Amino acid sequence: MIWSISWKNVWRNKVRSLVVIVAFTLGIFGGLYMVAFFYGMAESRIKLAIGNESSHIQVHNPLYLENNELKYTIDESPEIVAQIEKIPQVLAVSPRIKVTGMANTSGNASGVMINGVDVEKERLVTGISESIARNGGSFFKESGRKPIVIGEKLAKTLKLTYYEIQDEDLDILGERKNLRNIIPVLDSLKGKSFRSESEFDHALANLLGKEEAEKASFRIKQSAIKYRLKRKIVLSFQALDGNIAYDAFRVVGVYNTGNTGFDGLNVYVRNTDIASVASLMPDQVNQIAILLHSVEEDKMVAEQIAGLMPGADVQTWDEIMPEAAMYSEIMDYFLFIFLTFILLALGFGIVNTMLMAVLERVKELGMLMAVGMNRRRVFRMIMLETVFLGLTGAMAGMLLAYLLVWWTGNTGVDLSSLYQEGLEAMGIATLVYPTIGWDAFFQITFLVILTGILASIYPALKALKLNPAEALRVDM
Amino acid sequence: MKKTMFISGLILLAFCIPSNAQDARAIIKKADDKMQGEETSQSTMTMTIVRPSWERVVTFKNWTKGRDHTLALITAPAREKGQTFLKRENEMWNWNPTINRLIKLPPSMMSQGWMGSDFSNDDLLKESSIVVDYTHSIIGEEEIDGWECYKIELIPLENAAVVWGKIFKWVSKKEFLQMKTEYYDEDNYLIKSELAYDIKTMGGRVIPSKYELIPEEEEGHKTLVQMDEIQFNKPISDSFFSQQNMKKVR
Repeated sequence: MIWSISWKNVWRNKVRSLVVIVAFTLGIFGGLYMVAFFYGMAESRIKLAIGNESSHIQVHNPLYLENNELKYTIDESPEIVAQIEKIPQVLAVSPRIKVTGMANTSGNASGVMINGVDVEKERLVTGISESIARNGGSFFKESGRKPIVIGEKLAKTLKLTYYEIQDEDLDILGERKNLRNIIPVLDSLKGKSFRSESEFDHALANLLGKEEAEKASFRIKQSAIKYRLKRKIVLSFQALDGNIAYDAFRVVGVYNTGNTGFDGLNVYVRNTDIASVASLMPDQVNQIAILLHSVEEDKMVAEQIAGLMPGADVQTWDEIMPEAAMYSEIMDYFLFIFLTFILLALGFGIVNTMLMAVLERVKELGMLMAVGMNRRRVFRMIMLETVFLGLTGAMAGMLLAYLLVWWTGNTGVDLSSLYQEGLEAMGIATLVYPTIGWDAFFQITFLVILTGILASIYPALKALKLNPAEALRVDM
Repeated sequence: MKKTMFISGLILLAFCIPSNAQDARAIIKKADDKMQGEETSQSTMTMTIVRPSWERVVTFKNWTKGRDHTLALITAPAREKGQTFLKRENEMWNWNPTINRLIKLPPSMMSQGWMGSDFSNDDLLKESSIVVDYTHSIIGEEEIDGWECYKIELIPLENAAVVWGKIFKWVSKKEFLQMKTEYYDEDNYLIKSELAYDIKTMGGRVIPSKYELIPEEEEGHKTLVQMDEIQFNKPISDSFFSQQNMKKVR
């Protein structure tokens, strides 16, 4: 009874109610979509980080974690790897030799993390083999003497890149609408090779004008960049005997994971090549990385592995990268805080509206009380009216947000034209797939009802203070 | 007749090539020994680091014994005075009195310029040798600063831990001085040149008193080293090149 009266009351002044409902719709929609967007970003970061960097589980010698030195090894690794591979939840296992060192070319030098890997096993565990850049060779497909695969960022640092526009690059650039008009101009640069980024920038600025070049240069450079494959890189690092070991490797592949921090640091060589230089035994490794069928089983499998290898340190991905794991947890709080602020602002709007509704219905309320509606019912009626008002708007907002999250969650939101450089530096992919869990919707419904109840207190109290006898005589 | 001449010519040629290579190698070996083959040396040097917008002068004393032991003491500017560097075989340490710390230079610091110059720490203690890691050939004779020189091409061996594509060295016929060196990358771009000039008799030897290092790809950058004083073969004990002495030496 009260419920239907309240619901009808909401629609007595349609315009006024709709204003509040629309405000709620937009507020909830905006807040929800925003959070879904950040969730999507966090999720992509975690996915990339697990896929390319940490895998689900890593096993080390505990001393290695304290001090990343070559000498802290896991011995008899082939037997251990075979045992881990037998665990049904395990998808793939990659044993690695890891040592920090220097990479030198004639152009420059840079500190690197040398990963000595079993190529076939590594291919199954990380996405590096699928992240080879266009024109960037391959992941150890060509076997030569001592091959090495490096990141694009490192290739730039070591001056193993040059810039040259070829027909194929123009085709790729032509697929972008906003660049189509400059393709004919770029044609004149075709076939010319530029040794450094600054030389190329300069040529672009001369050709296109400063402003135009600045806008388009990131895209153009991205497709014009070429790599000096087969070039020599001299790696130096401290070998097991304490001496600094030097060895020459040839670049066979350049990868780009979209995380420049990672790409600038990690180089991959064959474990057999590095073991001999480092004077390690063939069965000694520093790290075993494990990929599972699904991330949910990580803790359980980690325990199983810890049982297999007493004395070793077994970590799951959220322990290896607490910062990535933190992303998703922080998003939960973020959602809560964000919506609280939105609802607080909307709550004041609702107080105002309800106050108006109560004050213009003084006579009617007096009448209801006079015919015997008790105070509690009056209070409930006004409270329900408020909650309906908010909830209607919130439902509409949630529906809109759900539809948009569903739609963009399938197509992805492309940020690359805006912030690719910055996002890659943070290790986030430029195609974001917004996503949100059902619990967020329940949370919001609960918060909206709470807001409605709180916002109704003041107007309802106003209504309760009415004296039926006086209220009836008010001239409206 | 013609045929025998042709054959003997071929034989002569066959003898010539290796002997030429042998010569080139011998010349490089002599030049290398000239630079580093002394029993001991003790010198004072002034290094000028030139950058497009500033210049900086560092003076230091330098003691060496054979190829494997070097100790350097910075004497100016005041801010860096008292710092010492010790090189033993292929390891290097740095003592910094202002922070009272002795550190072993890790591989990650090897590529940094020594005292901010264009000489990298790696250059100073490099393992690769211009004698062992390259094949050598004489490709011409040129005159530099009035000195007749052999122009020698050095091509690194396939697996040598050398970043260069090739090196040209001009070595004087007399005294075997390395008058000029050019370093090229694998695409034949000139990356770095070294010049030696102002040949003088110092410490009883005829040596260049000035060196210049020019990184070719960075405009306005170079490093100049001037030898102010040098003495050869004054006995120095091995214990002089120790971590204890790094903190005491003056």
